[in-house]
Amino acid sequence: MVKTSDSVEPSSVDTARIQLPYWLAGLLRHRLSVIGGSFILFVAFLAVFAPLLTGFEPTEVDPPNRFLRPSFEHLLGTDYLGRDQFTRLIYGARISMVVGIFSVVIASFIGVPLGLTAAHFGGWTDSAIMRFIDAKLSIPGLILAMMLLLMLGGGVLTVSIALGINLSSAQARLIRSQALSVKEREYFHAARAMGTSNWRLILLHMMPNSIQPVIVQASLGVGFAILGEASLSFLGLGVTPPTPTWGNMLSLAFQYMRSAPYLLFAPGVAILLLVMSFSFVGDGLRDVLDPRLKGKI
Amino acid sequence: MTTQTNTENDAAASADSASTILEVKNLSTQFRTRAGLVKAVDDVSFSVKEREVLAIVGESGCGKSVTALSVMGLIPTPPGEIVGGEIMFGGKDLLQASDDEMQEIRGGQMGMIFQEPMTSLNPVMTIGKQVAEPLRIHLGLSKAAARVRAGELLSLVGLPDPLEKLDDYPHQMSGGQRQRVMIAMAMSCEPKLLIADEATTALDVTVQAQVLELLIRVAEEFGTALIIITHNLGIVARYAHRVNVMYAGKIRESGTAADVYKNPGHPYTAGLLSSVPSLMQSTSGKLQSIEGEIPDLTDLPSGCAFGPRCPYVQDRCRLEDPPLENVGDDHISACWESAQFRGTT
Amino acid sequence: MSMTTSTRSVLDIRDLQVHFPVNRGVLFIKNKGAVKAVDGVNLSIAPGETVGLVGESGSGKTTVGRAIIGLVKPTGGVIEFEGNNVLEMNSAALRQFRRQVGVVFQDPYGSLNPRMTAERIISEPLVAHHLFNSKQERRARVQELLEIVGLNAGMASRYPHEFSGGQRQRIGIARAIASDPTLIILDEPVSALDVSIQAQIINLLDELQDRLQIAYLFIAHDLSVVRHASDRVAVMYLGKLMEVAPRDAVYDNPLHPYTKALLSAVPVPDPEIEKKRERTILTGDIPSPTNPPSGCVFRTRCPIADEACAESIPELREVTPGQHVACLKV
Repeated sequence: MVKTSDSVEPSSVDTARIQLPYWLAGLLRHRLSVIGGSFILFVAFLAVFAPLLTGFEPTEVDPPNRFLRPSFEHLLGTDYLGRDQFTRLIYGARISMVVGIFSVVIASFIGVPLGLTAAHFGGWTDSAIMRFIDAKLSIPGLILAMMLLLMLGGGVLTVSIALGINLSSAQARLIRSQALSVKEREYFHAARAMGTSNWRLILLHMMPNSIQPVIVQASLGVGFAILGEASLSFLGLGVTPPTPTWGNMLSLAFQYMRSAPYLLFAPGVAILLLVMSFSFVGDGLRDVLDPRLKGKI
Repeated sequence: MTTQTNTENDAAASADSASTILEVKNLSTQFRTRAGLVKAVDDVSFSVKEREVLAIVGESGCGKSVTALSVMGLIPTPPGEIVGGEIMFGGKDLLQASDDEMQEIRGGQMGMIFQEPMTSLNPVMTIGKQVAEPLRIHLGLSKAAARVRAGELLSLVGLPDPLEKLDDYPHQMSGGQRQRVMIAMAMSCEPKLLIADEATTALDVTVQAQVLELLIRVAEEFGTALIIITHNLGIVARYAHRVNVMYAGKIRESGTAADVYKNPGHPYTAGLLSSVPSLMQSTSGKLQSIEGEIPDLTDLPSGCAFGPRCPYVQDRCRLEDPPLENVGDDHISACWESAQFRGTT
Repeated sequence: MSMTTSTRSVLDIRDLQVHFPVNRGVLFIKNKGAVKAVDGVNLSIAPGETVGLVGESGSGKTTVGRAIIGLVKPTGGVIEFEGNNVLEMNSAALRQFRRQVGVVFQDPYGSLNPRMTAERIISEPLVAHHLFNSKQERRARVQELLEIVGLNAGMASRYPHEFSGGQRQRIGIARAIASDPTLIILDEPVSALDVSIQAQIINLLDELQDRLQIAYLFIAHDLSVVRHASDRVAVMYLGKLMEVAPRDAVYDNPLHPYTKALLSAVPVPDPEIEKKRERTILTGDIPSPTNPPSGCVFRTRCPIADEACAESIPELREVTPGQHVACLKV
């Protein structure tokens, strides 16, 4: 009767109910997370099935029909080149979602190893890594991203890398502080005393017990990255037109604010709702994953 | 350094004739948790006489702290709730008292000190201000008068340089000193009853002895009755007149400390006493431990909750929970088999 | 359990010092002296023997244990394990040493990784020391260990939070004995447990010692538990040993004034004995180890100290056969 699964999540003790992983069960009890999560799934659905949901192409120019007001044919109207706004919005969702998630993944892949290394080895390794991160933090995020983009050129991947590097400092700091407290726990001492290698100490003991806040931070970070992408696109530094993103849609709409104010509405609201949704889910995760609250929600 | 012999227990005789100041009748306190309903205190009755030292002893989850918090009106609601009973104090049922009345009683006629003196004191307020606070609230002293009295209280609890300590912050003191401050605060309004909830558990043994001696001395000086809540059987033996033994939310045995220790009326009490190795003589081989685990309060066994761990268990114990019955003079116990069990020990 | 002073010791600690530097300042870091957590401790443990190490907070008893298992670095002295100095071992020898020394910690909640099953926790030392090659053999060993410590082999796949405190401590013990150690450092192994559970764990440790011939360093502050569990007892105060002797000598005929005060401070669960007992209540608090008193560290609270005690540091010397005391007045 030995469990072979490698899952790190202990199964819920509550056997009376259907066995959902405890974090999922907890999230479902958190009303705002459910709303946020549903909205994220909805946007993801639109993004994935975009070609099936619209008869237009996102870059299809139709000069005679520019600046059309919303109608049944063009649900959200058309822009200055006569492109269908709804089509651009759902295609743009692809970029926003991909950039948002990519950035956070990149941030975690940079930040987590840095933070764990700093915490585990301490001393000058720790000082060197943390001073480096401090130095990076002292440069405003957007300026750093702009510098990187000017060097590397626009595109989904480079935007994600630029934003990911930005977010990685916070991830590194967060996991370091968690890992330092794990380092004082007795199970960590016990493992060290029996001669466990550094590699195993970090991977088996330190990381699984300090990763939770990083996951929470990551879900909040997605929202930040989506905003970041929008800001960069707004400044003309993000993903290169004519590929639609919510950011460059907003940026274009600004230029025609007087004549076609309705163009601002869709991308603006979309960004707002998606960022809020991710932060709701993040808050929910924070509550659910907090071990002190385990079993109390 | 002081050398002395025990005289406290002599006070027990005089306590007999004294009047009852606290009477708890059929108190039941429950907590709603995700795992289910926890009957933390279940139909508990006891009383405390003037100047008496009562110990409530038991292991984790037995309900000893919840009993104290219920008396103090400090049960967090929700998830907790006092679902029944009476707590008579000063001619009044505290369970019927308003929040304002309870505020007046707490820190006034009734005080409490907790295990963690660090978290019970406000870290950003000076000791002097904190000791003066109950004096100003309950006795209506002026700021200056309260400060003078606070200094007196600190010297009463044996803090060195009490006047300088008034301007110190809690983190500048040791654990033992902080617990002395807690005692000073609790005694500031000369309460009728003081509850010490594991008040010395976090302290080193030599400091624990100091603080306990102080507590007993101050209580005698002010004529305050004490409820000592502890898991330490030695502390009970040294300081208590009477003892309530609790297990799984209920009092299983109650009597004078001398009686209960000499001639325990419940197998659980006997088991606890034999689980503790002796300080006075060397023993080898197996300790007589109580087998099994402390039961889960959300899923108590039927009948007597101690049944599954009891060496004297009979069929009846699994069906019916035994009531508290006399097993001696002023000595009650809840055990169907107490006659057989006591015959064998 | 028997006195085996004639045979060679498993562990021999000589003049052990663990000083933690106290640094102050931001840019220009200044060394402001040191916390002498352990200061000149001598202690030996014979095969199969239990040595109790008692003391209050700040006594350094835990630091001694941690220095032995390599969690803190001694600043001086010798720790000899089966004749070899641990502090000068190469990594291969150190590996072998770690296989032979187990450790059990106080907190049954904190000492097990909450993200690992009981099986993985117990097999950790087996993996770290490459003791079994196949997964099946390891699994069989884990099941055997679980049964040895009184748990059900079927519990192997559970996580720590599914066990009670006593059961967790049993898992910690199974982990400590997994690699067949000759010495186990028990750092307050029962002080976080309820009284009725304490006795079970003490009995288990006793049984394992008889069966596996393991020596124990039993670090604890509970003097009754130490009396029951130990063959010899060492009493520490502020980083120094005050008295080391066979248990009956320490408890029935304590010679150091600190040992006497410590014993008399412990209340005994018997009202009749308590009525008759003489009590010595020490005044004052334990001084800070950053700034210990000169001369004898206990002198500020000692009922019999005089000027001489402030001037010279008492050496630990054999006063009666087997009983070593560090006091000028004895």
